[in-house]
Amino acid sequence: MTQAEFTATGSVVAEVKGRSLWSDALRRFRRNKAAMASLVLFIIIALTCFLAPHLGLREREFIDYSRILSPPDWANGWYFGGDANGRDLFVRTLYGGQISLTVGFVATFVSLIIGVSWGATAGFLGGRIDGLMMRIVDILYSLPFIFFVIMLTLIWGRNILLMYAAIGAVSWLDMARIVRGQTLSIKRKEFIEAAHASGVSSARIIFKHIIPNCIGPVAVYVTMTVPSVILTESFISYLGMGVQEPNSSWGTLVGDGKDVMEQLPYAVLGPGGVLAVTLLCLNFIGDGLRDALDPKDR
Amino acid sequence: MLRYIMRRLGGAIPTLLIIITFSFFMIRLAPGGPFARERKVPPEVEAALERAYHMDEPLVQQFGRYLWGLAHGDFGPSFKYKDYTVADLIAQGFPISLQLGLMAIVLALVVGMSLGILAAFRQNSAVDYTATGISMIGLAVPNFVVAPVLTLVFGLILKWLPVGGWGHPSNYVLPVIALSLAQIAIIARLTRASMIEVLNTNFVRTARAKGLPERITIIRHTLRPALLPVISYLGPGIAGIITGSVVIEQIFGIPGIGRYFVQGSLNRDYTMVMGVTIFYGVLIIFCNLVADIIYGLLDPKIRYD
Amino acid sequence: MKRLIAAVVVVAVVVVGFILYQNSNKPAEQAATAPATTNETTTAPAATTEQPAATAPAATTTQTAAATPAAGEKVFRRGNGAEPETLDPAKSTGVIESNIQYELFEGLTSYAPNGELVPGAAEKWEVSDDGLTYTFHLRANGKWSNGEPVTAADFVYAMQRLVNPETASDYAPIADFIVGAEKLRKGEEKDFSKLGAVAVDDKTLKITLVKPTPFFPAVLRHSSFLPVRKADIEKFKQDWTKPGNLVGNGAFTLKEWVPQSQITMVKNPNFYDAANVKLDKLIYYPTEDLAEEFKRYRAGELDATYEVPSEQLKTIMETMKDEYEGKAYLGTYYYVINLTREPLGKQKDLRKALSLAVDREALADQVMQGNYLPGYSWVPPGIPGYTTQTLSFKDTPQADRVAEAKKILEAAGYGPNNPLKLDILYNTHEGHKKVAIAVQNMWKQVGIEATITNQEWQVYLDTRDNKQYDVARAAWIADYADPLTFLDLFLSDAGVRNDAGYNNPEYDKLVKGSSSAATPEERMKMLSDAEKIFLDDEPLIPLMYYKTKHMISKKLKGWEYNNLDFHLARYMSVE
Repeated sequence: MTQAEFTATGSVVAEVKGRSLWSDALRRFRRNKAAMASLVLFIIIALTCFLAPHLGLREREFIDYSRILSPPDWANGWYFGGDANGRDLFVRTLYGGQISLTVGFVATFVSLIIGVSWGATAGFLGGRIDGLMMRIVDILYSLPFIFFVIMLTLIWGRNILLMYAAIGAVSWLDMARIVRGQTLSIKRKEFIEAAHASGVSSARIIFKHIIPNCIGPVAVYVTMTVPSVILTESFISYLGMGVQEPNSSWGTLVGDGKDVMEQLPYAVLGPGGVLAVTLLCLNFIGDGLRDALDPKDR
Repeated sequence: MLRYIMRRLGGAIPTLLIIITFSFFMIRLAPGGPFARERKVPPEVEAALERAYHMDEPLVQQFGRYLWGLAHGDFGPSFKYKDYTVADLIAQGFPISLQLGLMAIVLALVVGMSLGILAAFRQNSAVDYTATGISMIGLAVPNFVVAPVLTLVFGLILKWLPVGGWGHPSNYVLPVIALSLAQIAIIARLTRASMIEVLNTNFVRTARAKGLPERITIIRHTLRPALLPVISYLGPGIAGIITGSVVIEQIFGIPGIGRYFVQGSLNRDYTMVMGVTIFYGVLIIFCNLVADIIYGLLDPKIRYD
Repeated sequence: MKRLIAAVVVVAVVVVGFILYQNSNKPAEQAATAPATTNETTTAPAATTEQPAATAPAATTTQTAAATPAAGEKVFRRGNGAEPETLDPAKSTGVIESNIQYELFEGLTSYAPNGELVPGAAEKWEVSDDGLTYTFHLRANGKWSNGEPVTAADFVYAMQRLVNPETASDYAPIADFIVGAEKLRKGEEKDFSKLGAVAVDDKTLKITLVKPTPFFPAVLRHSSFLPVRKADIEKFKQDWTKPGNLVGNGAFTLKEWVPQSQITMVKNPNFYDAANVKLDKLIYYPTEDLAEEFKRYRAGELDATYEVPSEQLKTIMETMKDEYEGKAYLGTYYYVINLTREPLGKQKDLRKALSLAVDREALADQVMQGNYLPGYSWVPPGIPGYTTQTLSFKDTPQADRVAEAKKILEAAGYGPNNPLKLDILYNTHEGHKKVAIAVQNMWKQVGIEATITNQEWQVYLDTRDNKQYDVARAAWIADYADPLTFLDLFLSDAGVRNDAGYNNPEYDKLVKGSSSAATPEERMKMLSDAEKIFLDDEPLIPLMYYKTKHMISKKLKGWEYNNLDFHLARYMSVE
């Protein structure tokens, strides 16, 4: 519903557009200071990482033997000091960020696609198909996830792409359950019945009505999945099976750093700090999204 | 209720069979084998080893042999630790891992729920932010970093606790804390969110309007529904603890079975990997069942027949 | 409400029940303590002053790393790397296992604290004039831990078992010096009495060799030759190495073995030299995480460590220098080159260029923080009587070497537009990673573009066996203190062990001919000449020599450095 505003002189000023639910949510999000600050910080971190090659910094592979485990030297640009090989830890942290963030988002994206499709379909179709699909989810749930990932890593070698796929492939289970739950509860609502009665096709109902209504919990879950994927990747890299030289991820950097913690606390504080801050930002953004999209939970 | 339990247990058997089959064939897909060494093994020796472990038979026959052994409680010999059978090693290590894991989950539940409830009741206050902040540590810092930091601070600098080993209660403290941190974070957030949701429901509002003391309101009306999501989380929570234990056991030198899994995979110790996988599979199925039962006890809307 | 209480009660009961069950049910420790009490009361050692009452708390303290030993009891706590794969001498392959086996068993010959060859279970021996027959005379008072005497037949049984293909022993080839061993282990001969090891009587053992081998007594020190009892193996089969079943003739017996946690050994009262053994108990811990092992040492929980993490060396040198042992060890760390691949396989010059460009001092001192020594030869220095060879350019300054390397590459047609490309393979390990990164960088300075790949152990071994690499990290540790253990690796008929694919008939002639040398000096000279030929051919790039790396507590006495790094606890004591 639009309203035309009349000024004192009688001319029409800009229409006031109706407020959709999305813009309501956006406003609520904007008002959440923690979430906004986190969003900004996260964007800064991400940009710095991905733009690293263009920032005029030292090369990633540059080795200076005198700088092995040296403390930060702001004058010369060694912001985090030197790592155990004499390389610039700050630069490596940035490049590591590229990999960690990419893994996080790509794997989450993969799990999102699989999970949402699976869950929505199962919930919507119901009956025996739902039973079967959820049964499969239960079985997969009982397989220790770590087993899967290690096996897949062993079989396909050190291909980073496959690692994203592996992590994504074992993370979709929760997503599927949540979406199925949501679907089941939405399915019974009147507006779905109305849509049915109006002759809207099933596929369209799933995509236009059900999935958008799931976005709330899904979005929250996504923001909780990205950090957990990044942590999983760092865990696998720590075991020696993940990201390999010359690439690094925050996980490998922190894993390397913990061994020299006493000589050079920055080896852990540097990449570990960036990792922790990023994950915290993501969590706050997630919380903010959830609060914004579902005002009851404010 | 009993029938429900029976049905669930019955349904667990095909799940187990699938797990066994899957893991049996999957680990053999990984390149390399259990007998490779840097000092080359002469071909006759390799042949003798394969004969001794029945690896010269066709794969399907080996699988049948393994199943038959399983039915008798025989998990096979360990390929790597030649003096022990897998059953021996698991029998020795499992109680320890179980102890560690149980303590960790209990700690996680107690601390996590307390933090969550506290934060929910003082929502958006300094207490809320502090409690949430503390619980965030588990989400932001990997446990293989927390563990060495803890041993450094409490073991070497303050000298309050031992650095490694197992057996004395003082050995339990650091590993359990390190292992539970991630779960504390998740449980705290879950509890907080669901508690907030419950506090805003109509029936709580009614209770307050009726003039019930706050304490009774909390205990009688809010705790039960608020706990439900936490109970549902128990299954994945325990799985998370199992995953974390792999690293924690290695760092603290704890003789549990977590390490056997990773090492077994890296060593291609087929029987070991399968033994541990099956064990964990059983454990997770069991825990899910227990969680569902407790959920059923708590939620009056659910009736199991 | 009632249901909530019910739920909480269920959970509490389950949890408490498990914890109680765990705490009450420790059969392994309780069973192990029963024999312990009787052992400790029957010993009458001169040095200890323990009372029987002290054994009761000792039972629980065996489990604890942190608790101090019971009053008066002398305990040596050692970090031993990883969990041993087996304690069966015929089936084990690693130093970790040998360390334990040398406490539980004793071979014909043994190690003095400084590494010298000393009589072990055999108090003396003679060699025939043609150098082919050794006659060993066993000690009259040599006994097994159950009181029975050690006989020559026990050694014969152990050696026959070692070469029996059914035992599937990885190290069986070490017995090839003995007549008949090779045929037996390959299954070509089935009659084990054909093995050249015969028990003349209970205390006399005669061994016949294929050709004269002057270092044979040193070979016999290897753990594969430790004696084992036929009666135990036949009775207990797979379980004969478990505590309570294992009977050995060493200074200690096996009391307890908790996998992944610890191995406890106690003094053997029936050991012939028990009067001089000053330790009551040994506890060996598997310590895979080096950083954590070091922390445990600093916390006073370990008396000796298995290794030392290189990142800590600087701190150690500044604060704990006299507790650190880091001296030459008979092991070489090198990069093996796949000689079946172009262009490195055919062009010796290119290989030389690769070798020239590496700054070994920087690797050893800076990258590895002094945990290794720079290596310029294949056979490491320290073998008595042997003249170590070195690469021809050892004394040239590094800058000149780099210049020469660049020249060679240019002459071969490589330059900035056409860089030489190759891949460095290494197995997953922090240290190997550092070395690979450093070498990659060093090669970059001369225009070589190297990529580095790591594979986990099994896959890496596969790749090397199948010769699917360009340059791979490798290491070789001596089996016994003689250059042959290094040089025979690259004989052209060494099979899979020669994974570079090296083939030089001159080299073969010298190495094989050395066994017919008239005098030990001539033999050493032939081997030394062979190594010179080998190094000149540049088939591999020696990088560093290993060092023994241990932290030794000031309270521990009797641990001496030796270049094979075997330290027997029977010589040690703690304050």
